Amino acid sequence: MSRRGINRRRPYGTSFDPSVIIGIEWDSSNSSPALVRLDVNGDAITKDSAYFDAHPVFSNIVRCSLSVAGVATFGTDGKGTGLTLTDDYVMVRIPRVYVKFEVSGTKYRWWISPYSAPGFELHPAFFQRGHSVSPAEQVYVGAYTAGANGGTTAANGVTNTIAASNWTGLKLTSKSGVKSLTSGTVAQMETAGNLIGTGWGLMNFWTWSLMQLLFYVEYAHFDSQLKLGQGRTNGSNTAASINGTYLDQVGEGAGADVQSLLSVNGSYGDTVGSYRPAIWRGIENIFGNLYQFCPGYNLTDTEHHILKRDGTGTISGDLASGSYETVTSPAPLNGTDNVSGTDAGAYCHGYVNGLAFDTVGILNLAFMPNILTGSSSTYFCDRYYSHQSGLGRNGVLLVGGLWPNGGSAGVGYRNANYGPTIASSSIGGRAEFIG
Amino acid sequence: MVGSNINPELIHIDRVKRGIAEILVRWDIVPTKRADENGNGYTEYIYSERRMEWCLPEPLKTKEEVQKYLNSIYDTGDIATGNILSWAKASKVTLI
Repeated sequence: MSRRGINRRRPYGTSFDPSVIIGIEWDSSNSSPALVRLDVNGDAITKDSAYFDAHPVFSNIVRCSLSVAGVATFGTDGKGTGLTLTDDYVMVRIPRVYVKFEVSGTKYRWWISPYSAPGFELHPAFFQRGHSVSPAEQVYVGAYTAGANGGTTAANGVTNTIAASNWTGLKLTSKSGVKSLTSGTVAQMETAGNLIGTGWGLMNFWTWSLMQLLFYVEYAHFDSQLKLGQGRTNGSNTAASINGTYLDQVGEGAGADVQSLLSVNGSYGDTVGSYRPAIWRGIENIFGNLYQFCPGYNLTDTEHHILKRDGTGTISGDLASGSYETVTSPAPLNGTDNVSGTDAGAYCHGYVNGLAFDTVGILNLAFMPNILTGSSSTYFCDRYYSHQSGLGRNGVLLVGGLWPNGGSAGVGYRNANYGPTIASSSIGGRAEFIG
Repeated sequence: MVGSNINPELIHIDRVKRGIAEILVRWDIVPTKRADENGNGYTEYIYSERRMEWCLPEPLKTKEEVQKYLNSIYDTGDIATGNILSWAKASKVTLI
């Protein structure tokens, strides 16, 4: 798709510069959430925020106003200065990212590159939504959790969100100043995304995993609440906030515009208070405030179903046969024969301190929790709710965490506890366009 | 404050390198009743924690020996030379 408007950043994909290949190393034998930064050769290096603000990937993660056809208009900086943030589709562009993964003993290493390089593969996110043959140049993800145009919607109780009583013709939006759409099923939300146009839908599992990886690479740390901000995670908040604002319910801000708080790269967070949104490179409430549906990953008692990495699968809340790859070993955590953390009977939960990896490598980029005996200050620092054994259908994935989640929330928070019919005033989603 | 579903060890050893142990020291551990997202009760342990390094006084041969030694001076011994808890708490003090 063509792009117009102001975008003076360094073009990407035009030359090979090994200094822009950057990685992280996690030593699973150590409880520290701090990661080692790696250069292209796997040697430890240090990089500051200026490096990332000039990096061909990170500097091109910027807000834009996107047309239905996928034509982007950029602002003058990462936070979208100059854009009309109340436009229907204020999105954040994530340019192509090539990835490499390796394991050595207890050490797990991920690298990212803006260019194709030996040993690197294009991240699966760029193959989705019709791009299995011609991968997309970028993924656009909503700057805000999704609102709604069309259909019939009304205020959703005390949660400061909206719910649809009629989904016919309802389309997701991504705009400031409106309430987020909740109380739909993942299928209804995905359909409402699809109705925008070709290439549109609900942020899928591979898009989320890409964002998670980029976040970890930028901060070289698994504790997103420590490095970016607490996010809207304070239990005394009784409702979600309106897009583009902070706080509504308790004492601070009263719906104030959050835009002026953002740095030019679009990031903002409050590491002390927990009433303001965590905003990473223009993506507001990347965690906290509302759970976000994340179609493309289902769990049964014995299998992980992961949206096919090559893009030939069809994204849906309950992936159909032929749309997913299967991992049976390790089996998903559940509450019966594979339990970690607190055993709640049909499911288990706890803070993540280990990931699931399979021999084929399907899970290498998935950051799927597998051990739950950590804490809010060690390892991944975020909570996971496992698949619920005995669910009549496959479990769906929620990510990010909710307004009362406190230290449980973060980019690593995941909840696979519910089936695809779950609908709640605490669950929303985020639009995406791949093209 | 730190939270965990697991009742934590008072001293957790992450690694020992060249005679220095990288440890997590925990105190004021309070078991707290919580409700999970389905309304089922569980215990979350809330506590203070400090990550710190501790020089070992002699060549202890195994992680078990190091753990035993560190446990023995968790909150006993001379404040200047032992008593890990005292050092951990002091590291959170800021005087202006």
